[in-house]
This record gives sequence, structure tokens and C-alpha cells, in this order.
Amino acid sequence: MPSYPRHYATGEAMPPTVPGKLRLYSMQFCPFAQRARLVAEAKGLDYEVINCNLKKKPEWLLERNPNGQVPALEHDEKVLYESLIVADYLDDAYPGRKLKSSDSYQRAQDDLIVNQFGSKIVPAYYKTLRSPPEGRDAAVQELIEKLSVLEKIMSKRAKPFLGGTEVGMVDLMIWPWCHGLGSFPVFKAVLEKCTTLKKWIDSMYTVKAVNATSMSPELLGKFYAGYQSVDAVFDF
Amino acid sequence: MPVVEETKHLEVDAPLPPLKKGLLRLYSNRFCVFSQRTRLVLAAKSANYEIINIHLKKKPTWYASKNPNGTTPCLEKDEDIVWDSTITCEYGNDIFAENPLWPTDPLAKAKDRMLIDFFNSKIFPNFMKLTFYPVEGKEEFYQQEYEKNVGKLQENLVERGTTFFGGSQPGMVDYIMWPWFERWVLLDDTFPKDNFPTILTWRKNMIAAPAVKEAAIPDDIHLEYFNNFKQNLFQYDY
Repeated sequence: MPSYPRHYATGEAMPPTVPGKLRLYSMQFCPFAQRARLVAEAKGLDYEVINCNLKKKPEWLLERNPNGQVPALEHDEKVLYESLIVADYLDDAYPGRKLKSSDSYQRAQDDLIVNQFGSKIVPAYYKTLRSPPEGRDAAVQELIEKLSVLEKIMSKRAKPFLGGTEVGMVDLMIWPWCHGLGSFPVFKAVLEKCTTLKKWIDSMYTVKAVNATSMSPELLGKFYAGYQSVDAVFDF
Repeated sequence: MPVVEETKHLEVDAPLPPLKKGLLRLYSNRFCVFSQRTRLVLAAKSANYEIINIHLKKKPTWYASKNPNGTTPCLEKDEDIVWDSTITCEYGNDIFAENPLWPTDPLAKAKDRMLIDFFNSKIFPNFMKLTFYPVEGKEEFYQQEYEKNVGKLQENLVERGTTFFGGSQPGMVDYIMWPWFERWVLLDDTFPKDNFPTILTWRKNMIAAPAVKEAAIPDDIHLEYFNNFKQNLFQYDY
């Protein structure tokens, strides 16, 4: 029995929604879905997670998100999807500490960090992860180079978080892939070189929401090894 | 006039115009669709600002020190620099109090952002394939994709039941999408505009909106730029 909600597949009935209860459609190892869960945890929200098999998608996931992706949010008649939109909505709509900065310029800088991370670093991350052995060193070098801009920003701003003394939205939105950097052996050389990033990662592991949503390196490794197959296993 | 000054498109050896303290500066390009988004937002906010136009094929040497990505738009105010068209629009909306462009309700705002996401992935790329960046042999495919998705956009506006996507006045969603709809004159004669009566009415209403008028390029200039573009001539000053 996994220690997390099991993944529903094609043909399986959807667990009925509970009126008034916030629901996140997710996949336990998906970095985009983790963004939504990080915010829900950081805000201390009462929510349920419905995990979905992304190789054999349940029909009712597609009814909520025609793109068939997680995360998706459902709360009574409200349905939203796209990880950054869901994350911002949770911060805006629910009370408690605001995860986004109250300063306009800071918010603009934070959005740029997240945008640039998504367009420059995430592709290099997957390129390294998927690289055959002969291309690995070059891919790792490229990733280290792309991370240098983020490292520069972190040395100036991380106190210890980019959000300041407390973790902020910007930290949470880039976290899932940085957790990957700390978990997959192929990235060992990256963290040896990127010492500022490593320091920030260590600080992130003190955050409750981070620990509540980040999977162990063992499970991540097991999941990733089988993910290319149509019969990929989601429940370990 | 909210646009205090606008330069010609500055090229490689052009000196950097000195900043005026406290005045917002927009690095832009008259024909850059993404820059036009920010011009629309700043016009809607009645912002005071100056425009430094950049020749995108012969960029001034100092431009990389403003925006390392080399793209327009880019906003500069005293020490603060902001780039990326989505972010410059957000920032422009945030720093001027007048006329908030997002709905106050978090759910309505999230739905607007999802519509913008749909527009960015399924509408404007197809428009570009029908005009500036055609792919030989795939003209019919992109036409069908564009028509299908503009149809969905139309359904969304009908469902909202308002003049603009933003309500009785244009909002962020309207301005973010507008540059590609201003350029409908570039579409082939075969494009069935009459299949989209609600969009046609929306276009008419947008063309009459003050912010759109302020940032507008006339159809004949769009066509002239487009004809030059197709011959690999990048003429920005008309």
C-alpha cells in the first residue's frame, strides 16, 4: 500500500466530490502538480488529492481539463487548471499569509525568475535526465551554465529564501525541479558546482510544505525508471 | 498626451537617450505585437511615459545592458528594469492606480488567465502561421486550427454576455489579445470573417476604445510593413 492516495485510471469511477471541499487532481511524482500542493500546504488549506494515472487517464480528468494534465482544481462548480494559475488562485482566494510579494517590482522580478526557470532551466533539466550516457556530460555542463543566472540572483536575494525570511511563491514554483536536482544521481555534479543553489535547497528542506509534498529519492528513481512504458507504475 | 515622447527606431550606433528621473520608459518596437500589449495597458492606465523604439534587426549596442534577452517590450523606471510582455503588462497595471484591468474576484481573474493561456497556445501562433511565418503545404491545416479556436473564443465571449471580455470596458484579456486582432487586415480574402459575428462586433468596439486608438497602427501601414517583411526588408519608421 502506498503512503499516498492511489492513482485512478481509465474506466474507474471518479470519487464523488464533497460539497465545499477543495479538490486537487494530481499525480504523486508530477512537478507541475506539486506546485499546487506546495501552495495548498503552505497556506494550511483543507483539501483532498485525487491522483490520476497519466498514461491511462481517467475520462473525468479530461472533462475537467481538456488538455488531460495535472494539476487541476475543483471546488464546488469552480474548475481551474494550469499550474501557475492554480497556484496564484489559491494564494489570492484563501486567507492566511500571502505567498506573493506585496511589492509590484518584487512581484515582477519573481515572475521573471519563474518564467525564465520554466523556459531555460526545466528543458535543460529534462535533457540531462533523458540523455544517453555519451551526451550526459555536455547536458550537465549546459544545465550548470543555465543555473548560473539563478545562482547570481540567489546570492543577492536569498535570505535564506527568495521570498525573504519566509518561503515565498517564487521559491515554491521552482522547487519541484530543484528537489529533482537533489534526488537523481545524474545531477550530482550540478550541486557540487552550484553551491549557492545547494545552500538554498538545504534551507528549503526545513519548510513543512516542502517535506509534505516531496517524494524520496528512492521512490522518484523507481518511478522515473518505469515512466517511459505505457504500463508505468504510479503506486509503489 | 500620456506618451510624452516617442523616438524613431534606434539602431546600432545610436546613443542611449538619457533617462528622465521619475518618468517611466518603454523600450518598444512599433510593429512588435508583444510591445503593443504593453502600450495598450499603459494607455488604458493613462500612464505618463516615453517610448524608445528599438530596431530589432540592428539593435543599439547598449540594449543588451537593459534587457539581456534582447527582446521588446522592456520597462525602465529609475533603477528598476522589467521585461517579458506578460510581466510588463502586469507591472504597468500594478504601478498605476487608475482603471484596474483585472477583475477583483480571484476566480474571475483565474478564468481570464486561463483564457489568455488558451489564446497564447492555440490562437496567436496559428495566426502567425497564416501571416508572417507560413509553413508550405500546411496552409489549410493552420487555417482550420485558427478558425476552430477563434470559434471557441467567440463562444467564450457570448457566454460572458458583455461587450468586452473585461465587461463593459476592455480589461487585461482584451488588451492582451488585441494586437493579433488588429492585424486581421493581413488575413487572406478567403478567411470567413462572417463566421465570427460576435468577434467582428468586439473588433469594432475595440477599435473605438481610447487605449486602442492611442496604440493603433492603421491598416494600410500594417500592409506596408507586412509586404516589406515578406521581402526580408525590416522597415519600422513610416
